[in-house]
Amino acid sequence: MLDKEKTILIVDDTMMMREGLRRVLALMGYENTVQAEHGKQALNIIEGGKHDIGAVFLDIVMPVMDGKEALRKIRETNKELPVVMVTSKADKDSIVECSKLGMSSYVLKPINAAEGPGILSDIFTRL
Amino acid sequence: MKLEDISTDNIRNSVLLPFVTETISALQSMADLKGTSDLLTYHEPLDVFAFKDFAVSINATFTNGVTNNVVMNLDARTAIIIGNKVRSVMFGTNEVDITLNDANKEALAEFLNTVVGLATRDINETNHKISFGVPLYLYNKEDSEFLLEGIKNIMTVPVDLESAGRFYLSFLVR
Repeated sequence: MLDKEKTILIVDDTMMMREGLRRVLALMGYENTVQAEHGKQALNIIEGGKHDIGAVFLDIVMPVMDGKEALRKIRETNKELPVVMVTSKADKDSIVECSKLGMSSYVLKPINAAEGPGILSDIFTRL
Repeated sequence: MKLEDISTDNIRNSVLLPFVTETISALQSMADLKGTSDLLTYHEPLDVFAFKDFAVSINATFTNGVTNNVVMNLDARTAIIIGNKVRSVMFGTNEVDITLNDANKEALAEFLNTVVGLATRDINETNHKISFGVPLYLYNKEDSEFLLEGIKNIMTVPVDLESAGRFYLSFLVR
């Protein structure tokens, strides 16, 4: 199970999606979160070392740097950090690609307050 | 039947039906709203397009290179209700904003992104291939006028929402 003292990095270009995921994580007792709007910003946060990042939730379709490119760059230097891809039901091809790039798990959007904690708990037990 | 043959029946069955079906499905899953459309029974689309208060247009490029538009067209009241409901379901709260503010626009954008993604999957699982662009958001009639340039055919489908009015899905064919 993911350590609740660690910080979870939420990466999505949509504020509503970031906020929705932050609230679900807070409901589960994961209060330490940090947010990024795209992959490049996420890499800066990971490499900056200011936060003890325990896991990353990474949207796939984003401007500046998308989730696939960000995942590839994360895996160049860090094979252990759990990275959960966040995607829509429609994007099955991207999930296959991210699996090859080394994602830890994936979750389907939208993640809502009613079902989100159960879905993420299942994922966290496998990380 | 090739999608390039722009017949009403072809567009209706190959493009509009997937969009309407996925819209109704997303209304239920993302907004806890019940939507209905006559298109799913027997009615033919309307041949009109009139901008309401808020619209989202998506370019749909066929394999023959012609770019058409799928437009979701809402009055402010319906847009606000959907925006509030999407946020309420996502956050587990009761959002009751009375204006079409940035939070509601973002909620509508996410809703429509989901509809487009699901409809694209449905359409491309057939032998038809359509490339969809990113959503373009339109806030007044003047900004929407370019949509009608070169249009040869308009197919509009009303989607009725229980206690939340009605909005329109239009397919603008060049």
